[in-house]
Amino acid sequence: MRKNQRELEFRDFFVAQSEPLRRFAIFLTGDTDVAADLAQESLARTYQHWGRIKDKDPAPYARRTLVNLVRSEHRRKLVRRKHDESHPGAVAPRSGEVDEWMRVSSALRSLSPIRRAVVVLRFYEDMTEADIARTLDRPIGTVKSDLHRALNALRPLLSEETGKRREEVR
Amino acid sequence: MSFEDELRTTFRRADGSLEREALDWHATINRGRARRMMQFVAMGATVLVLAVAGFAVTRVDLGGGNEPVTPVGPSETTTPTPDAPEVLTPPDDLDRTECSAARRAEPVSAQTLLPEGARRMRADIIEAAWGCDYERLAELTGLQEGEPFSYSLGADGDPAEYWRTLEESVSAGEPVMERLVQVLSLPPAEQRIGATVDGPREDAFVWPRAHGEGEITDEEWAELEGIYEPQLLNDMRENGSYLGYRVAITADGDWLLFTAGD
Repeated sequence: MRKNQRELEFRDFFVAQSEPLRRFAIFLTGDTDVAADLAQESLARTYQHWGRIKDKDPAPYARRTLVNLVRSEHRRKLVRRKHDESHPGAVAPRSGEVDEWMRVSSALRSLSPIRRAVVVLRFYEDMTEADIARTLDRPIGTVKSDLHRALNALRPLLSEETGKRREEVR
Repeated sequence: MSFEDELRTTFRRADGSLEREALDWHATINRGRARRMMQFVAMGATVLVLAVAGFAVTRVDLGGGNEPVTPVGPSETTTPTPDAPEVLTPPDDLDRTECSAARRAEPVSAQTLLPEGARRMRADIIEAAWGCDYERLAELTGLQEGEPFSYSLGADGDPAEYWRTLEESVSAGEPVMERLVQVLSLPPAEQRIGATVDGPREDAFVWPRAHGEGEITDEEWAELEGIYEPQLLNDMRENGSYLGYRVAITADGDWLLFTAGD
């Protein structure tokens, strides 16, 4: 493969996938700055291995890399440090939607990174369990189990928040 | 509405609250290039680890190589290239007075069992080196297109000028073009890069086989005898490491480095 051809091919992938990947990262980390950094790093690693993965579907590779980055101890420290500061990269939602974002973000952070990823891929990206298994390179039985446990953990958190919100509306 | 449907709706609302913010293409691609570069700079250390696994570093049966080489491990990439010439032959009109590679130019194996990309790039490099065509060599590095390429540790300039200076300097004269052809005439090691990082591996070929950090075999030392002075080779051998030139090309045909190991 000629060198400039690699970049031309990767450029199309970047244009199509960078924003979805950044949003996926935001739901995983709850922080726009960290999300942009991790999305960029996962794209850089995808480019690094482009020669091998371009003929397969590189999008799952990029997402899997992103999840692995979030899972790494180094990155989790970075995320914690960011949150301990004055939330410089915290999402700034539009008026009226701040509660919506905050409660989702807060509830998701109670999950492990891998279960967080399973939930986001299932209910945000509308992937099937089989697609999630392929994307995260995990057995489908493990994905089903992760999803089940994640929903059990989220249900009281979000239902409680939903209840409070409804009370406030009344 | 089920909890799952409620969750979907919640995500949609949250997604609608996010501002669109494009990632920086140049910053991303520069990170990618840097990762590729670091990947190959770190190859030596990776080779040892993977060699212990008995899989990653494979002696390559070159298909008519200058030295008989026996494959010792699996190779997914050494498929013959149809209709490729068996031998690379120097052109008749070489000026054999000015260029070190031209003075001792002789036919070399085309190493036809290399993957096509690597085989073509190797042939292009040898052809350019025979003629001391520094500009063509610089073009092959891809540096002008912003690709990573290493020609001297810490150097940040024009490799064509660097090689020309080495070749033509009266005091520091070094037959760098001859070395380039000589090293590429030896059997390479096949390396799988990325196995210890994440995801798929990338195949690359590195000449000579003695370049890694593992124990260098007698056979690998013997391959170097026509290139370096016996005293210099002995010094390297006593030191336990090969400090001479090495060349790396990916299976896809990206030329990654031509450096001395010192």
